[in-house]
Amino acid sequence: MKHLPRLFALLLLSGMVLLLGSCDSGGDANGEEEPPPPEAFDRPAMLANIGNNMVIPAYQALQTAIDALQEATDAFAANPSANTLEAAQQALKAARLAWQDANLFQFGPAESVALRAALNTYPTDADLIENNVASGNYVLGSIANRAAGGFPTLDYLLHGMGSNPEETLAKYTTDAGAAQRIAYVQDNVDFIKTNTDDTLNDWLASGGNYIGTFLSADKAGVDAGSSLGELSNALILHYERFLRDGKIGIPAGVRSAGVPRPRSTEAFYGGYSVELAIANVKAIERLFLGTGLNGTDGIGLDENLQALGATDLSNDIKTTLTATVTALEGLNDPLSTQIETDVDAVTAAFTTMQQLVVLLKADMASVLGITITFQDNDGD
Amino acid sequence: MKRLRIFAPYALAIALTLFATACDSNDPDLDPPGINGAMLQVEGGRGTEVTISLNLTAEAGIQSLTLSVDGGAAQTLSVNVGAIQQAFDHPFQIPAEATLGATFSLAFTLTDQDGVTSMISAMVTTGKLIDTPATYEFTRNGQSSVFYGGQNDRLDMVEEMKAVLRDGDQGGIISEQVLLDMFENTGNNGGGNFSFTSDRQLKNKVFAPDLDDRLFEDLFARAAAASVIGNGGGKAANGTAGLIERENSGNTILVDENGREFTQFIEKGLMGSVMYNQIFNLYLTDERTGDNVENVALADGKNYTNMEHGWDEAFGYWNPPLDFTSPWPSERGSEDRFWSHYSNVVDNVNNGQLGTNAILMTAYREGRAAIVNNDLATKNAQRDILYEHLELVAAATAIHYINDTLGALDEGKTGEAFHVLSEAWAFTNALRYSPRRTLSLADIEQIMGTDFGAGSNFWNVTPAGLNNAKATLVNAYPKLAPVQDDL
Repeated sequence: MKHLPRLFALLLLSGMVLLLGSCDSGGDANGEEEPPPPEAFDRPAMLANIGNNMVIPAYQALQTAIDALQEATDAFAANPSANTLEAAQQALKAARLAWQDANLFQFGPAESVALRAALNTYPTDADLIENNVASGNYVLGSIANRAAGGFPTLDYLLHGMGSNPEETLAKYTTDAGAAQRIAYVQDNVDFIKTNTDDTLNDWLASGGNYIGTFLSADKAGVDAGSSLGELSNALILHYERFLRDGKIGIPAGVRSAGVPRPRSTEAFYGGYSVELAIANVKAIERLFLGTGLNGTDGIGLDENLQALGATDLSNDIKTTLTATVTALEGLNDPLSTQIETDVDAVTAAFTTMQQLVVLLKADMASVLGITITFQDNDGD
Repeated sequence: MKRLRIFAPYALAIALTLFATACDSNDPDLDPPGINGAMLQVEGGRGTEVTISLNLTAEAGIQSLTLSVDGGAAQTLSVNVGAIQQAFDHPFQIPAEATLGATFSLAFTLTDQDGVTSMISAMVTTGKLIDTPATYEFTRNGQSSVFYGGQNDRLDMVEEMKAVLRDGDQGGIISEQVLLDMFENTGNNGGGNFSFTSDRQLKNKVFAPDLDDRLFEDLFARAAAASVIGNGGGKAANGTAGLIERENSGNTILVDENGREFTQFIEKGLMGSVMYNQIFNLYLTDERTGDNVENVALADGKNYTNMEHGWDEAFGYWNPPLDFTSPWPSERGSEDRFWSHYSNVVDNVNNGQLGTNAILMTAYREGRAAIVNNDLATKNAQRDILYEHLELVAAATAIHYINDTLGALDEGKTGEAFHVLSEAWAFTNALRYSPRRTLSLADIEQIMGTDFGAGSNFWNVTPAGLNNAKATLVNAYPKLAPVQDDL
């Protein structure tokens, strides 16, 4: 007997809920209309400039450099000589310099293949590399072989086999393990190439079209999953942990109670770590200014800050970037030697580099409305 | 002229009945001579009594009234013989075993003193005893009819075992015997290691093949041995068990020679081998909640039927707060446990795109209400939803931890990678326990044994392998495709 009234009540209620619901959603829609920002800034245009003129060209340039590296190492493998060795060493350096433009973008496709860990984990583990060369049994890219793959491993294999080119050449000609060693070089180049190709293809519209995702309306905001949010987090994390600490601070001993670790420099065997660090800061400078890889100026983070009324901050960051380059230019390669002879100059450079962390991570992030989502694990 | 008039008790009828009654009802002005009647439709819950109210009239005087239910033998009802008019209420007991929607046709035959008869039919439909409540609370005679104390106990046991394992993570020595005593619940208090007493046991609820393999006993022995190494300062390496630091927190975890974290393998392993196994292979099966399980008589000395209890035990192994829903407020995050906790981990991804909390909770509530109402079709439909979405939670959580592992590899953090990969392994493993699993055993084996590191060795894991595992899972669970990178 009691079910009828209940049923009617339910129908009535649901009708009311529907009515109320439509009223509510109308109200919400009105509420969502934010007033236009004080000064219109075309964030999508900035992201398009970054994606199309920096990210993709950086991976394309890296791919070109790696293809050249492959040609050079193949030529070296076919005919190990002082000339082919030197050509391979130069191709390696060119590729490592190209990497300095690409390593800022460690999100999306690069993150899903762990590109940075694959290409540039250092210091290398020479014993592990030798074990792998001897056994021929290894999976590059695995956790076990993280310190036995990528550019730093090639640095060791092409530069670190002896005190002069003759000794190095001998490892690839007369040494009992010469064939396995050259195979390990080639496997590493393949490994670097595969990961780079995968990353680039994932970005391209003709491939995984991450550029489409990057420029989509969904990701045009400043929330945690937005393109600007991911880009900024990647940039700041990279600067703090992999440039300031990885390239300079850790080798200088700032994370090891002041005890220097010269072997932890990025190009320990090739001896051009400072050059790589400078190239990396300059890449950040270009990203900030919106300068494409071809040198054309476009809309960058500086314009974004200016549009938000933070012209002073924008200028501060530019000045500090210049000062950082200057501080690094005051160091000499090989950085490991510089650390052993005059570590104070290196720690001084580190202190200069520190200034940019505050400007980017606290001030810029705050003005842009970006949330820093990566975890601090070193207490600063 | 003899007339019989029967008035329907309209207040009781549903809308359809009103319609039908309106068509069939008699306009008094057009009453034909003799006896006629109207159709009646009455609804009530199983086991309840409904009343069919009739108004009998016979100008020749009422002689008799008989009733035949569903064409059965006629029974004679007591009437006022000789009366010209009588209001007559007939109580009808809807059988307790009636399923929802079951109908009973009641044919009343009135005979007047001239021997002229008139017949009227009433239809009794079995309706709902209860509407589905907003929370998982069900009562009978004012007392709760829900009980899953055994499930609560076993979840508590897993929690306290985890605390022992945590000690090993921190460099303490783990006793194999302590873990065995807890697993077997020696002396009803886990050999003195539980903070409570219980006559329940984890071991006798373990998935039978895992029991055959001595899966957990073996893990206990290996964890104990590794903890001695860890206690001596032994660091984990490829091929060597020991402690390894989690880079984000600085805490250590105890891993085996293949980088697998014992705490996760045992705790999350029991979540699969006991909790999901019991839900999937016992409580949601026909043995405990099939249509033939007793759902009328109460279990001996209990306030529930066996079918109700079976369903509640399936709920108890999920163990959410009784008002669990989507999204779940973070300030109440400590109230969900084990599997309901992991439902909540994946529930609100991409603004609630998966919504597993509400989907599962609704299915549990609807199913339980359906059992009370003996609505077997609805109950079975909810079982299907539970099988699908409980499995989906395990798959989504596996992807969640695969993504975390990719992130850890990306940052070059081995300890973090081993921790989250141990979770990913265990949640993938949990997919094994559903007899309706979407992912094949071969695919599960490929993910756990190869994609997560060749030779079942986490030291061999690569981003390529992890991405392969992720693709396999997304392919098997298309609902996860849109959220695969957000989990």
